[in-house]
Amino acid sequence: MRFVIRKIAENEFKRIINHPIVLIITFILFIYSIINGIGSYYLLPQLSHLNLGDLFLIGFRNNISDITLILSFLSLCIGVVLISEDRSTGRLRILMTKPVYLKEIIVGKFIGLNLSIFIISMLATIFNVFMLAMIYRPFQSYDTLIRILIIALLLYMLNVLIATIVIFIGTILKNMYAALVATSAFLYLIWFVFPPYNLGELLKINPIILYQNIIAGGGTNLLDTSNSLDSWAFSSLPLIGILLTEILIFLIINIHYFGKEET
Amino acid sequence: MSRNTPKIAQREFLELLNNRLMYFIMLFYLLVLLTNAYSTYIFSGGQHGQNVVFNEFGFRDALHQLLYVFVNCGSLIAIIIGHSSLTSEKHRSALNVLISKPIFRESIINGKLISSVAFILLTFVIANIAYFILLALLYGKIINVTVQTFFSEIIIIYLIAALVTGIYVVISLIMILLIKDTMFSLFSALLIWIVSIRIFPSSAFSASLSYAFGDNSQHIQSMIANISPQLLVLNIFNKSDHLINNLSQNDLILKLVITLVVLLVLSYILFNRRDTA
Repeated sequence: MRFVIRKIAENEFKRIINHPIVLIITFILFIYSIINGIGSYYLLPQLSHLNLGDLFLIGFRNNISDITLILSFLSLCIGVVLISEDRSTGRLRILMTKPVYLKEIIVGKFIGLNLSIFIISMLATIFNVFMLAMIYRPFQSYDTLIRILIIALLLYMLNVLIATIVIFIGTILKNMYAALVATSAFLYLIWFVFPPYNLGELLKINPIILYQNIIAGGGTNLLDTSNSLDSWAFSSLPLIGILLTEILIFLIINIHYFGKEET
Repeated sequence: MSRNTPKIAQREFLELLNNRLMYFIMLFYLLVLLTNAYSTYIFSGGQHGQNVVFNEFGFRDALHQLLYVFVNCGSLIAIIIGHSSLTSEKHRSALNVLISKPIFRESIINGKLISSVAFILLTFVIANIAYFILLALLYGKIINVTVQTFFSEIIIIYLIAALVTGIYVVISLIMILLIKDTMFSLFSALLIWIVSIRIFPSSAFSASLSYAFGDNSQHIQSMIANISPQLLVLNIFNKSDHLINNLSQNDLILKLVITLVVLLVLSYILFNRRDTA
C-alpha cells in the first residue's frame, strides 16, 4: 500500500475513533451489554424447559436488534463526518490541494472507514458475548461462537453499506445540514417505515430487510442452533452476495461523484 | 410570556416557511404517513380486492397509526427543526444580535419553541388531510363516526402532538446550548431520540434493567414506560375506545406537560448561563 493511502487511512481512523459520538455510543453499548447480561442471568433459566436451542444465543439475540440500530446510527455519523464535515470545515479542499491522487484520498478514506466500523462492530459483539459469559454462563459450543462471529461480520458489512450510502448522500448534497437531514430521513426510512409487502424482491434493496433476510436464511435462522450452519449458508450466500454488490455499487458511485467534485 | 415572544415566533415561523429544506421535511413526513397507510391496506388484504370494511374500529386504527407515525417520525422532525432554528442563527451571528437587544432570553427560547411546534403541526395537518383522502380512496367507505367524535378525537391527537413535539424541540435546543460543536450537538440529540423511541420501549431492555436493579416487581419497567413518550402516548389506546375517556382516566397530558416544563426551565437556565459566560 502506498504511504499516502496508509497515512490518510490512519488519519481517518484516528479521527473517527476519537470522535466524541463514537466514544459515547461505545460506552452506551458497553452499559447495554452489562444490562443484557444481568437480564439474561435472571430470565434465561426460566426458559430452560422450552426447546429453544442454546440459551446463550437467545441471550445474545435479546438486544442484537437494538445494537444494530445504534450501530446504523453510528455509521450515519461516521459517513457524515467523513465527507460533509470535511467539506464544511474546508478540510477536504486542503486535502485536494496536496500532491495526492483523488483515488488515494477515496481509498484512504474507505480503508479508514472500514477499519473503524470493523473495530466498533467487533467491540459491540465482544461486549455482549463477554458480559453474557461473565454474568450468565460461558458458551458451551463452538457452533454458537461461529454463529456469533458471523453475526459480527454481517453487522460490519451492513454498517459499511450504510456508511457508503450516507457518503453518497453527503457527496451529492453540498450543504452539510441538508446532508444530515437527508441521511436522518434515510435512516428512518430503512428502520421505521413498513414497506408494502407487494413490492416483493424489491424490498431487499432496503439494507435492513436484506440483513434480516440474511440472518433468517429462508427459515434456517442463523440464531437458532437447531438449524445447521450449512443449510443457513446455502440459503443466505446469494443474499450476502447482494449485500456486497450494493457496497461495491455505492463505492463506485462515490468515486464517480467525488471525481466530479474535484474537477 | 413576554410581548416579544409572539414577534420572535412569527419571524421564526416565516423563516421556516422560506427554508426549502423544510419543504423536503414536509414531503418526507407525508411519504412516511402515506406509505404506512398503504402498507396497512395491503397487509389487511386490500390487494386481493377483498371487501375491507372501514368502520368505527377502523377510525380508531387510523388514529392509532397517526399517533404512531407522529411520535416516531414527528419527534425526529422536531429534533431537526429545533436544532436548525438555533444553529442557523448562530452561523449568521443573528443570535448575538438578538441577545444584545432588550429581550428576555426566555422569550427567544419560547419564540423558537412556538414557531417550531406551529410549523410541525402545520405539516401534521397537511399530511393528515392527505392521509384521510388516501384512506377514502383505498377503502371506499371512511370514518363511520359522528362529526363530533371525529373532531374531539382529532383535537386530542393535536394536543398530544404539540406536547411531544415541544419536548423534542426543547431537547435539541438543550443539546445546542450544552455542546458547542454543531454536528456533535445534533448527533447527541438524535441519539437521545433513538434511545427514547427504540431502546426505552424495548421490553428486553426494560425487563433486564429491572433485574439489574434487583426489582422483580417491574416498578422500574413501568417507570421507564413513563419516561418514554412513545409508550406514554401509545398506552392511552389501551384503556377504552375513545381518547377523551382515556384522558379522563389517566394523567398522560399532565405527565407530558411536566416533562416539557422541566426541560424548558433547564433550557432557560442553560441559555442564561451561556450568555453570562
